[in-house]
Amino acid sequence: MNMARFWFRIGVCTTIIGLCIFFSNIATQGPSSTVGGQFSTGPNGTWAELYVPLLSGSKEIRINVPRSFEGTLYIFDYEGTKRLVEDGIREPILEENFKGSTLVDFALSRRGAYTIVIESHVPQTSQGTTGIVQKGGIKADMLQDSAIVILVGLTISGIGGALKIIRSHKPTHNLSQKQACALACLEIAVGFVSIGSFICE
Amino acid sequence: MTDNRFLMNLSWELKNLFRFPFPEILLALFTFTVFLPHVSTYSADINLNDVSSQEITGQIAHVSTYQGAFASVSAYLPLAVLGSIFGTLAFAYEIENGLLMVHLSHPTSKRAVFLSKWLSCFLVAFVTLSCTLLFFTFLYVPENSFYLITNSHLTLSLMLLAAMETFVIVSVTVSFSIFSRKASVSLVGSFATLYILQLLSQTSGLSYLPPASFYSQVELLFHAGSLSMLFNSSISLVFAAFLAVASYLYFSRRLELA
Repeated sequence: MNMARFWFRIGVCTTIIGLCIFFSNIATQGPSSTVGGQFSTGPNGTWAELYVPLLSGSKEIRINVPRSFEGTLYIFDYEGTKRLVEDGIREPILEENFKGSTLVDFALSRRGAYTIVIESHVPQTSQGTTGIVQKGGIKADMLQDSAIVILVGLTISGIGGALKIIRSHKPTHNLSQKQACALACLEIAVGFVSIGSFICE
Repeated sequence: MTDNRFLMNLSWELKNLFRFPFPEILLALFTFTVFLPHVSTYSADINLNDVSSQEITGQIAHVSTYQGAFASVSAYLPLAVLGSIFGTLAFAYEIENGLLMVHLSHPTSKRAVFLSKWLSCFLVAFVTLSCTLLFFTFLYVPENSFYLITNSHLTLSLMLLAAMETFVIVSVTVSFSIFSRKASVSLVGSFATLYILQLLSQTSGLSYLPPASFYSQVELLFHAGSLSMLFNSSISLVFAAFLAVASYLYFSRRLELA
């Protein structure tokens, strides 16, 4: 198999993978689910739990604690968790004070690893439960990722196709075959980048 | 000369099975089944004062790969369908139509022909399944991809799992194909066998049959498994190895071509 055909096939395969991710996401739309469990904090202590992954979309977190409990709920994304652990810097994507049992609505733009931290403001040991309800529906971030995979696949197959066309024609210009290949690849890449940026906008 | 001939046979078989659109269809089916949303969010308590970011990243990478490994079992049916087709095309179809006679009229041994055909069937399924699983793992938590590249033991475990699953399927389909010698019998028979195995493992709770045994392999590779898990995961592998050896011996010594 020559290189042009090889890259064309790789591009086609990548496009197919992207299309299948797209359709599998649309076909099922993801059922709703609830994750969570019990927690316990010491006097004025903190409790943290890592969730892998929390999917994108709207969510609600239910916190069941005694009426006398006062605390703050933090949600950290992946980078925020790293910064919290490494330097102790708190940069949560959500911060909410609460007293007694509460229900907090929030939305995530991307799936990923998130850390839920509950900080107790009462001077005794407290126990409670948390539950995150993830609602079903089409995941926009997954669709976006599949679109990127499709775009990459089309670019690769386009480059493969261009290589094939260039190799099968005799040059009618002053460029060498390598220069012509490079120019064609550059033109295709620029074309796809412009299409991609247009889609993203 | 024989080694050279083996490589020539292998490249010929690979060209046959990797021709358009076999890998594309495999990829499409695997991706669709593996990427159907498996909503299973993992959660773990962490002690913020006693954990490093490296440990958190490692934990996330482990979960991503484990979920990918778990999702690989849902590719069992497409693997069974395509495995039956490849096994039939490589062996039974050629035996039935006399194409194998043409192969063997060249200065080559039956062993080389068998190994090249078996390897090509294995490779086409293994490469496509691995690609799909790696895509799944890297897209599961996208921030984590760099860790997965630098710590290759997780991705290698995933590929080992794909290899074990493919080995079981290809061994069953190829042996069915060689012993039946008829394309239609091989195609329907090997798929029916694999489908019945799946039904039995699901309905009768026989966890040493595939695909239930694949779950034990996942647990063994990614968590410390028990003795029963070792038993469940090794039964299908041992049986597949037995089938592969039996079909190799039959093909290289007993197979008579009319």
